[in-house]
Amino acid sequence: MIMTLTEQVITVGMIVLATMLTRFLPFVLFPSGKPTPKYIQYLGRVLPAAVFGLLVVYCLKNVNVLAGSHGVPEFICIAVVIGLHLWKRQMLLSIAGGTVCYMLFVQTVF
Amino acid sequence: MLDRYKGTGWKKFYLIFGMCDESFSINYTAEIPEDVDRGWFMFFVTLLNHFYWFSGATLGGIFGSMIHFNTEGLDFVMTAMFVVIFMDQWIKDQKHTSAVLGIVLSLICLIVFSSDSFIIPAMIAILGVLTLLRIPMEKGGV
Repeated sequence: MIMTLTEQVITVGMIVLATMLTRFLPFVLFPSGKPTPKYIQYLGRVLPAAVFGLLVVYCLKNVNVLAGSHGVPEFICIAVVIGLHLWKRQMLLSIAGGTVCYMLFVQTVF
Repeated sequence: MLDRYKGTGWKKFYLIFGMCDESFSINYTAEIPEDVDRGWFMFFVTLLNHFYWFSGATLGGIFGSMIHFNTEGLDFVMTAMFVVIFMDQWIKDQKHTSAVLGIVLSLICLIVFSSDSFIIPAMIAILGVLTLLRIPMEKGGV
């Protein structure tokens, strides 16, 4: 589908508007002058861990364990990331090591 | 984030404006040393992310067509980053109920719904289960 310039401008504008609305809304609803409700504070403590879990699953959503390479390169490289991170606790090293490992795998082995 | 961004003054507006996934993850998990101003720390995290994003996208747009080496698999960098962030959060937390719930509920939703539409049901499921578990979780000291 090819969009005209006007359509593109409107699309980008709507995305900007929605992003900014969702980003500012919580801060408008719960101003810093008042104490944040207990339920929201609870969510602030427990949600991040769950959301990071969701994001990891999201990254792997197109991995098909029943066909192709069965997700083997993904799982091996996640193990490499975990191993590197437990060993050195250096974020960039863990990320770069896992990614290089994955690129080698999918380009040469699988 | 509501409480983390408290007391940052004029910087708060920009902190909210620039709160992409990456800025949120760093600002939420970072252990800022006592002698460092929290507002400025988070401000520069956000500003640098903003700058990297902007300059990266611009460079990619201009020079992207000139790069010819094989980038297959480079997208794994995002997976690796979230795995590391998830681990850091795991190490920081005393209880891992929420982290496990996040993975399990997302996987269930991924299997039940298609990979294109599982994220909203997964968010609702996580929010619902965490809300139901609030009383036992808070008793457990979360």
